[in-house]
Amino acid sequence: MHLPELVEFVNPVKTLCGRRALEHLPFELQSLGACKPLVIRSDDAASRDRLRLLARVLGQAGLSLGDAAGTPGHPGPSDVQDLAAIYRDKDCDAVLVLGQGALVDLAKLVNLTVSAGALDIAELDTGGRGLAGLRPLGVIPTGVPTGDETTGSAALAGKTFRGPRLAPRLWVLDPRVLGDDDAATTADCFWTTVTHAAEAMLGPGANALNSSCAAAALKLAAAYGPAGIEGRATPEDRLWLANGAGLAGVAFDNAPAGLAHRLAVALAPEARQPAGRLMGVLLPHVLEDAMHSGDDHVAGLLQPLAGIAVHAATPQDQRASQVVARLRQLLVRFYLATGGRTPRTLEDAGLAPAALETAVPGGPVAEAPEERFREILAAAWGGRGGDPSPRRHP
Amino acid sequence: MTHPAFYEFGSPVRVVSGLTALERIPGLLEDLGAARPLVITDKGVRAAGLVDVLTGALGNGLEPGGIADEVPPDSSVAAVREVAHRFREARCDGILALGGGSVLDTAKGVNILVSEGGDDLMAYSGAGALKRRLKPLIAIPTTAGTGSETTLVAVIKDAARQVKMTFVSHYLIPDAAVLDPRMTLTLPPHITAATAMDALTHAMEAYTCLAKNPQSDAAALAAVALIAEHLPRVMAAPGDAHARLALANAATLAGMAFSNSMCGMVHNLGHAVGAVCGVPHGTCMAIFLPYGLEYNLHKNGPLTAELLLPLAGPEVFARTPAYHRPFRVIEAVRQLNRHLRERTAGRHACSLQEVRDARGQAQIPRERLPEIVAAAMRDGTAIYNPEDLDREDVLMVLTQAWEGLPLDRTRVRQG
Repeated sequence: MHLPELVEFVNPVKTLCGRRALEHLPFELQSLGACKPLVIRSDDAASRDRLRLLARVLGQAGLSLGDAAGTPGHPGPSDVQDLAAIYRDKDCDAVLVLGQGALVDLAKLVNLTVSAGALDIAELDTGGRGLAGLRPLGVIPTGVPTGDETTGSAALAGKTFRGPRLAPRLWVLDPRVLGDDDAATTADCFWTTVTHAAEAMLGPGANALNSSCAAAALKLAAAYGPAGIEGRATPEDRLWLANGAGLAGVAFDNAPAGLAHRLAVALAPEARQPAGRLMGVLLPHVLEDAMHSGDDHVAGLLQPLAGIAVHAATPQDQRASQVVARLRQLLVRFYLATGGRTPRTLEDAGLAPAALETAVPGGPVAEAPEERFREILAAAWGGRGGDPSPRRHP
Repeated sequence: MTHPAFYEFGSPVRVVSGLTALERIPGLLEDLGAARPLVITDKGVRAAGLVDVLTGALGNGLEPGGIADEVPPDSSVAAVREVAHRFREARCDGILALGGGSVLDTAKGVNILVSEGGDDLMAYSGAGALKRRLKPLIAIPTTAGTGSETTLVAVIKDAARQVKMTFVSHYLIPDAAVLDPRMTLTLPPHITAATAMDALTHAMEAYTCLAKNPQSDAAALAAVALIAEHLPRVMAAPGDAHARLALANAATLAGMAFSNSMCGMVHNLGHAVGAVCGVPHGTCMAIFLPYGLEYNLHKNGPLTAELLLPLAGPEVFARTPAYHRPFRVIEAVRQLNRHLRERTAGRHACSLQEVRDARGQAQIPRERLPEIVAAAMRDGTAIYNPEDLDREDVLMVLTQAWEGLPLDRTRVRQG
């Protein structure tokens, strides 16, 4: 197992997961010195039902809440200040978010704003002094998570914030609250989870601590993701896929972003597709490239992806190619299951060949010469792959 | 894949691991808002020169407010008060806990008093009594075994009342754990062996006992793989810094696993032997681990079998018939114990009758087994053990472990 010369790892998020998980939340909030969280949520019938359940659970433990319903789907900087004002008006002492995605990012910035007393998000110190002085922030997903729920990063109005002080302290997965999502959204979650976990296990920051989280994320995604995408998921399946997404978020947060992630994020605006779907297309090609470059860690992904028995029964020199083959099979299955909404190739994703050039970073990139980016992108555009001959990179 | 109906997992300690991890401490303290830490340690650690290594690594920019090396082998209320007094006198603002479990327990107790004020430690005993953040505390383990650097618990003895007080709070989890092989390079072979077996027990019990969950499983499997690969290397070459670092990582991972999934009968029996005969914890864990796996085998066969992969590697796993894998795991643990006994010239005991004190005298006379049974029945750690244990079961396991013989599986309770 890889042990770099110097590495840091932190997972500040406490998981409460499973039956009646919400009922454990009051104790955790009280342990962190909070008794009145501000609840950030959308305003629809399902959200109101969930709020009633949350209010009842908190009330039974003698806690109350401040409701901040109707947060817009695409919030901006003014929403941070508006919610911070509501937090102060309602005399709250913690932040909870009922939802995922943009709402979580917003809640991270609101919590840092109210904790630091900042008047402008440009003033926020996202790194520095760890968790000292922060109010508790808890996330209660209501649908398929994006994985950002456990990270110290947030995006708002085109700007990305990153630092340990943004990470939530609590992550509550309760089947009564965790709803369903369509197949393509579940596929985004699956591929984001698999890509973040796999790249955390391969990248230069890989280490025993982070790889243990990543391996667990891969195992959960592989076991429970396909059912959700192919329309046969049970509430249990959704719960454990969400677990995997959260763990992949932790792994991602403790490693530099990998090649498939970065390329997908760069291509997503042009493709008008969520980055997760593009990560799925790119990952097999990035792994194949790593194999050809002599990275023998790809083989280590087979055990979490396919199980102990398959891993043990596959000869060592075939494990890496088995990983890539399995990912390709999943791409095709998900393409069929979603009626083509989950692409198999960058061409399926609606990208013209000329658009690929936008993802090739200019200037020197230490671990990947420009030509290597182009090779990966070209292969992912046409869906080529499977050439077992070693490739030498300059 | 089977999962619990509910689980919780939290391990927010910031881990810094590496060959130069000690040099990161000034930066960690700065992040935490501290500039004048008190080093809490014990005389053994100081005599081994580790305080000098630490202060050397801190450099000229950070001068500790003092070195408190009076921590006893069993953390006590008196020691906590004394060190808290030193902390206040030296106007310190953070703690560097350099040592094993007792040092860390003492440091956590000191942190309660210097953060909350006063010297009534008892007022904060039990679960959830602390309501706010304490002063910065950085753990620097000098053994690779206890995993205390990841836990939210402190156990401190009140000698006057003859009781051990337990303190449980999120706020007791150290802010950071610094894993640097320079802190374990000089550990004697028999202590290296015992502490690593302690970590292996944490990992294996976490993986096979009732409160297991996907996150504790992940940490446990990684810990088993690291120990299986690197413990024999360290025993062969004690100066192998990379292998020492791997064991330190394994101990931390195992600590994260067991502190979130609890332990089983191996810890129950080990606590009892420790309490009655004063045997070091790691020694007890090494002896009882194969017995715990063997006793629970009828309920845990598939889980025990899965441990063969990190323990012996994919090739051994693949060529071992499925029905035989759990037995192979138990035999591999016994074989590891025998290897450690050989490497330590007999100081690593494989049975209770082999345990010797510092003068070479047998430390666990057979006639004391009934006392150990009584102590085990008072200890609550077997609550998460897959199979129940009564007095007769405990005596049967202890007798076999005293002799160093495998369990007679026809006599194992199958509830």
